[in-house]
Parts: sequence; C-alpha cells; structure tokens
Amino acid sequence: MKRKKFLSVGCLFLVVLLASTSISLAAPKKEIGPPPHAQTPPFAPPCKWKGTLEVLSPRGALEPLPNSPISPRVTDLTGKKIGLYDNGKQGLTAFFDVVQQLLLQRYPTVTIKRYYGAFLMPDQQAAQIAAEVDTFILGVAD
Amino acid sequence: LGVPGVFLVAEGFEHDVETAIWTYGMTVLRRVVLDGYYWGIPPEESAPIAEAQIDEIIDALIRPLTAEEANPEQLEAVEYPPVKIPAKSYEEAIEEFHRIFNENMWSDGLAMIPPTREAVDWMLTGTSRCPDEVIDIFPPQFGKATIEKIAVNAVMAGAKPEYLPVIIAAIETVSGNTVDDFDLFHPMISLGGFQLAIWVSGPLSKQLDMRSQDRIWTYGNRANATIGRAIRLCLINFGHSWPGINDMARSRAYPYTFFTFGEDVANSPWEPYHVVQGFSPEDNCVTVSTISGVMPTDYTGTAYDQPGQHLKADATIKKIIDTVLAKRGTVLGTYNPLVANPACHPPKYVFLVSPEMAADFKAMGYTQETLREYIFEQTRIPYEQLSEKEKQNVQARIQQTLEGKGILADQIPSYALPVFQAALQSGGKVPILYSPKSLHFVVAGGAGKSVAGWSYYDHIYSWWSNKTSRIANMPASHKHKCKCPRR
Repeated sequence: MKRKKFLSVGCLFLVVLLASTSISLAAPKKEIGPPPHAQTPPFAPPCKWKGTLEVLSPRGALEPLPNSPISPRVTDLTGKKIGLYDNGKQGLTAFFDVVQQLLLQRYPTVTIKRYYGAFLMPDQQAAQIAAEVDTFILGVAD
Repeated sequence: LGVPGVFLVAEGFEHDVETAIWTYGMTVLRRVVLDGYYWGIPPEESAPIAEAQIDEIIDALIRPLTAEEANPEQLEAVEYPPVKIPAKSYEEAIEEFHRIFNENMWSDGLAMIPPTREAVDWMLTGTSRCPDEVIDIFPPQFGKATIEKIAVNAVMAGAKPEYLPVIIAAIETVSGNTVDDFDLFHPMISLGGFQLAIWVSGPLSKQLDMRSQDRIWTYGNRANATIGRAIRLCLINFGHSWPGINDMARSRAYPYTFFTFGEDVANSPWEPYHVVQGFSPEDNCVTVSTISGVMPTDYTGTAYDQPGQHLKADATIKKIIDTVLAKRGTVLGTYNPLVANPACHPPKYVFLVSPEMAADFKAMGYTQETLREYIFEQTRIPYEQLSEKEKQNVQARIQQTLEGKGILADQIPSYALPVFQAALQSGGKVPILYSPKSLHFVVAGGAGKSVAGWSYYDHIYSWWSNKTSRIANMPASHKHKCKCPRR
C-alpha cells in the first residue's frame, strides 16, 4: 500500500516535472529584437550532392611593397666604424658585449659604436646611425 | 640609407623574419640565425653562441652582393579566389574544407561553417554597406579587409547577420596604422600574449542577447562567442597571423573568442560606458581594449559590509589604489631612456564592476568620472617622497618627449605632459597613471559585489590601446540594399 502511494506520488511528480520541462524548453520571447531575418540560413547540406563544395576565401589580399636591394658591403672591416644596435631587452646587451670583444680581437683597429633604441627604430635615429657608422649589426630581442 | 648591415635572428623566429621581410619588401636582407639564442638568455649561455657564429656575422658584413641581392625580383600581389572542393559526398567535402583551411592557416582550429556564396550573401543582409568596400590593411602582414571578407569570416565563426554590424564596427575600431589609430600591432605579435576585451554598450547588447551578467565568461551564448570568434578569424586572415610564424605569443587565455561581452546597462546605476566616452545613450557602441592575456584579476575588497557603511566598496577602491601604487617601482624606478622595457610604461586598467558594487560606489557619491579622478589623485607620489633615481627617470621621460626621441611608448602624451612637468618640484605629485582616463569602468558580471579587471600599457606603438566606435544600425529588412554592382 505504502509502495503504491509512493508510486502514485512519484508519477505525479514526474508529470509535473515533464510539464515544467516542456515549458522551460519553449523558446523565450524576445522583448526587443533586431529586424527579422526570414531567410533560412543556407547551411544545410544540399539534398542532392553536386560533387563540389565552393567556398569563398577569408584571406585578405596582399599588395607587396617594392622589393629593395641591400646596400653594397664593405670589403674589409679593418679600420671601420661598426654600429651595434640593441633594444635593451633581457640578454641582448650581454650578447653584444661578447660580439664587441670578438670584433676587437679580430680587428683591433675597428671602432665600435653601441646604440640602444626601440624595437622599431625611429627614422631620426636610423639617419643618425647611418651618418656615424660604416656598417652595423642589428639585434632586437623580445 | 646606404649603410650595409646584418640582422641577427633568435632561433625560433626564422618564420617571423621570413614573413616580415616579404611584407616590408626586404627579401634579400642578410640575416644570421643565432642557434640556441632565446629571450632572456644569461651571458654564460650567450657568449658561446657569439663565439660560434661571429665568422658568419662578419661574412654577412663583407661578402660581396649577389646579382639577386643587388637587384631582387619584385613580389607579386596575392589574391585569394574562391576555393572549389570536389568530393564524393558533402561529409567528405566538409572534412576536406577543414583540412584545406587549417593547412593554409585560414582557420582557428575549431569546426567552421563553410562560407559558400549563399551563406556569405545571407550574412551580408546584416549590413547595407557594399561588399567590395575596403576597410583597411591589418598587421602584421597587412592583408586587405573588405566588408565581404568580414562577412566570410563571420559565416565561418557561426555568427548571425544581426551580429555583422558589431563585427564590422570592431574591425573598423582597430583599423588604421598611424600613431593616432588603435595599436593592433602589439597585441597581434608580442611574445607577451596580449588579448582584446570587446564589449558592446547600448540597447543593442540586450537586443542581441549578449551575456553581460552572471557567469559572463562561460560557454553557451552565441552572440558573445561568435562575435568574438568572427573578430579573431578576421584578424587571423587579414593580418595573415599564425602562432609561431608571426604571432609570437607564448600563452594567451581565450584565444578563440577574445573576452567579448555586453555591458549590463539595464542594471547599471551609472551612465553607460559609451556615454562617458561622449556618445549618446541611444547609440550602440563597441569598445576594443588591449589587455593582458589572462583571466581578469579579482580586485574585490575583503572587508565585510556594515549597515550604513560601504566597507567592501572602500576596501575594493583601496585594493585598486594599492595595485596601481605597486607599479611605482617599475614605472618610475626602472625606466631607462631608449631601452624598450614595457614594464616601465604607465599602465591602464579595465575594470568589470558588478551592478551591486557599482551601486555601492554610486552610494558613496562616485560617478565613473569622479571615481577614476579619485584613484588617479590617490596614486600620485609626492615629489618629496621620490628617490633621486625616480626624479631622474621622470625628467628623462619628459626630456624624451620634448625632444621627440625614442619610441612612442617612451613619450608622455601631450595632455599629461604639463602634469608631469609641474610635478617635478617641491609640493608636486608625480602620477603613475598618465591620466584618470587610463581607468575604464564597465558594469558587467555576476550577482554580488565584485570588481575584476585587467591591466595593459597606456600606449606602446600608437596613442591608443582603447577605442570606442558607434555601431551602424541594421538595415530595416534583410534584403541587401546597397547600390553598388552585385556579383
């Protein structure tokens, strides 16, 4: 008897639960909404497969800049002014210290000029460096 | 400039350089890849690398030019026409579509909706603008964005046409490549793994059902997820960006959708964010802000509320002030002129304030403007408390600004320069923030009293790391109404 009562209460609970579920599953009504887009999204697979899927490319077209030559090299480093450009990030200054020592060991007559600056070298600084050195080594760490 | 040189490249950055030299028209640039060099390498490890490769570096400086180096081949423009995918079945074509897009780096790695002509035309019903209209070129590789290309990426992301005006507005917000435009370059390439916070203010946020309240970062909201994802896909495909190729970020939270959300205008006791930025309440706006690539930090105070008092709000404001003050050491103390150390650049903050906390701030008498003024004032350091090194550094930054030297990040914006100049004297106070406008309060987030937020730098490569734009209205009907010729 107790079990019957329990089952009937349980069934009632289940009915209430199902009813509330069906209510909660109904789409909520929007108070305000964007203009209706009546079209069905055309994402469904075609009923009859035509053998080819054609898609548009998401990629932005590229228009390259003129490709520049590099400057003629110095023939020898002897007696030259060499610029070392460093953006001061961790590790690079110590690395350039060693490069400087090695250059001076091999070419005792070179003059090393150290420059510090930004990751993107401003034009003003580039012009200054160009006026002061014969050749340069550029390293920017990040 | 006529001076020969060689560019040193750390191992692992070879692809980054390959794409950059193509972009900047320097494909014959002489470069030496330093085997084993890495960011922050200690001197004892870098010295052997220099010794092993000094001959290669010297050779690059003195070896005569080849014919190709003296007269390099010109590069050709690259167009991206539609892609035809033959397959035995639709299912096979879908798999092939994903393979092709992923292998070409046109995807974010998740499953996508195929951008067929029909699907893209459906997406374009969300705007009355011409599909061929060019928005701009986008870093790092400066691919061209058009309205149609935005729609293609929006389809792939699973967005709906009514989201398209938000996506277009966000892309326009981050467009431009001058110092007066949004700095997209830094968050797109930096090793630091920076992110974008994107929020919609105005009635549209609710109309699009954007999530703005509880569980703001969880899954399940189509607008938040697909608007953010569409913007991410646009930036991948317009910038030709790819992890480890030219997007060198090492870690990043929310890589697929950015942090995209709606402002909770309905429950906010304050004016909407965009109104504080000078727009009308009835405007719909999108704001894009560069932030750190981590989940927002919780700034909520720990003190308990007392009847008639606002201790928790007080404690939260104090915690924000303490956070800004903690930057003093780096911003004022370790700055070196002409040395790129972003930690030395004054920060900005974006705070998500829950409606209840905003109500407490309002009850304390604060508007968004007066609260940021208060925090700005409380984080200024009296001149008498500055160390000699800090005084020198502030003076050096002022000097850099007056002389126009260094990168933009070294310089003080013109609106803040008089404040810094006046501060460097007895009775003066040096700010850690450039201005109260470096603090952004947006009402969003869950029930209860909370404040969470991110920091970033006030500016790096341009003056703007935060920008708000008006979102154009949706067309009155779904029919495309532009007068330009259609394909």
